Amino acid sequence: MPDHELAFLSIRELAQLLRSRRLSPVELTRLYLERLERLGPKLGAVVTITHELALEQARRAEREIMRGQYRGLLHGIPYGVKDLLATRGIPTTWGAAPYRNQVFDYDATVVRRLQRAGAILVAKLAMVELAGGMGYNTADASFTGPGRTPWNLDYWSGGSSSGSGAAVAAGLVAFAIGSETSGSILTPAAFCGISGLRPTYGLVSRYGAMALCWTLDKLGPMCRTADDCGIVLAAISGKDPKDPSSVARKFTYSAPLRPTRRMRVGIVKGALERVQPEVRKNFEAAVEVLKRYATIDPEVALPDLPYGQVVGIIVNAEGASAFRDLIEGGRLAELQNPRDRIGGYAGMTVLAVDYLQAQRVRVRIRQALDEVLSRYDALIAPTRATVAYPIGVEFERAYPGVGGGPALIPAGNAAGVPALSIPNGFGQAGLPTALQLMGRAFSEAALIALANAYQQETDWHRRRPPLEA
Amino acid sequence: MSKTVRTTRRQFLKTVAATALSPSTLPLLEGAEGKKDALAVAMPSPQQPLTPSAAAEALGELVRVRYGRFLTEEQLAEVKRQIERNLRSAERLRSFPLTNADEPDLIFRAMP
Repeated sequence: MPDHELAFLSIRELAQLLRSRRLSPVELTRLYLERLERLGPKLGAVVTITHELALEQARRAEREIMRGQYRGLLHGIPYGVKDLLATRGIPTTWGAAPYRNQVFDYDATVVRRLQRAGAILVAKLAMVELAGGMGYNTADASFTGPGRTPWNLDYWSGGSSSGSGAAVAAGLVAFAIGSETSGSILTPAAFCGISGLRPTYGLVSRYGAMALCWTLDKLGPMCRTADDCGIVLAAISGKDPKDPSSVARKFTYSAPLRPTRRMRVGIVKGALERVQPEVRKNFEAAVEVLKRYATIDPEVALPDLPYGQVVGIIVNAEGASAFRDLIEGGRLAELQNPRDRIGGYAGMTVLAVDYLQAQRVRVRIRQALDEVLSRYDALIAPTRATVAYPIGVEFERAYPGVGGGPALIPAGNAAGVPALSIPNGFGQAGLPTALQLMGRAFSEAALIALANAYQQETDWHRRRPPLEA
Repeated sequence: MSKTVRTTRRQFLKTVAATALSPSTLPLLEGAEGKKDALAVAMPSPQQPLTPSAAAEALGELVRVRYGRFLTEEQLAEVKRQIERNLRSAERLRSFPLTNADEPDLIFRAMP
């Protein structure tokens, strides 16, 4: 199989080749390392290529597989992590100039769990500085420069898991780990045309991850298929004594899940208001596909609650606290994005009672949203109202008059519930559009089953960007 | 680059005093602020000209006192507009009916 085809196979497809010894982990790792070096800079997707570590891990995987000690579907699979996960002895920059020489002497739990599963770390991937917590408003918000979607290099790859999205979409890694406080997995997944899963809060340990917002941060898989997201989530989920927010639940997944009964899906009311025409058209086409597996409720109103304000106040207050030393030391000035250089100062003035009010309202949000979500396997909407934003243009000026609609991303993050974004077509400038499925807490299996069914019927997830043409 | 910001203690106290006389003057923005995504991920929303309220001015003066040496006048003006946005969000949350029994979504654990 030619290299450029191999690079785009799913984890499950690669695992078959590796397990049957038709493909060597070393060979596969070298392929991705070469692509990371050649294409990574074009995309602004890479901070550090972990060349030596990767080859060492690949050789070990090869020896084990040859001896018949196969660990599972991730054994010998090369991956990258957003550069906010600690990796022993390798720089972990948080995407921000003040931390570009930071090195930890331990591995994040997620990295450790992936290592235990036999996966091979090939790269630390670019991200928006400090995961966007200081309020960036253009794509140029990282010391590595703007992340570019491989579908059109004049457009952003989304944030804050910019490199994770672009690297998976461009076949630079087999999968990546991203993080989401409010939209940072789903947005780059949508803008890069890949599958991204935001797990339930607490399902994946955040030990060793940069903290932006303790009560909102989540880590999750970014892959080429929903099925792959299930495979990765199974490896990284579960209780971790080092992260008190992690819960004693393990997500298990091996064979591809499919709906075992007719599912119930609700379309979020107002989801198609003020979206780009192609976003609407592709969403409507996706609904037709989902109808083969689900009964569709065409209009489900989200409870009218202040989702955006709750998330905004919490992120501002917790973000300012998390980076208080940077703010009070005047080092925000070293950040790339002009808005980021001042965002933390406003956060320092959030009153404690206002923060607590947000956390009190949040309980009501969880309850109200769960009441709606309990009636469905998934609520669906376009992941984003538009395709990716052009680089060099302030986000709010990118598509005037488009955007808004129901606040599904802040609602889901405030409630801590899972969501999955999968590609569902293309829009302006050859850029991908996406479908979001959101469910009750710990309903990842249902979301993946439905998305698997959709991806079995469509080939949007198999399309490849014209990067090498 | 404009000059960094300096203020006197007297100016600061004067602003705080003025604010104390006119509390809760923030307009309640139904919808507009609520449709915004979290600051963690930028999302487009129409840029609205924001005039900082007296409360935002006062909190902005606190920023000037503490961190003015790091900020230009232009940056401080933007900080005040951001504070104004935060205050409007907080005002919207303040209007949400809660009782004494509504605990925050935080759990304190006594066990180490």
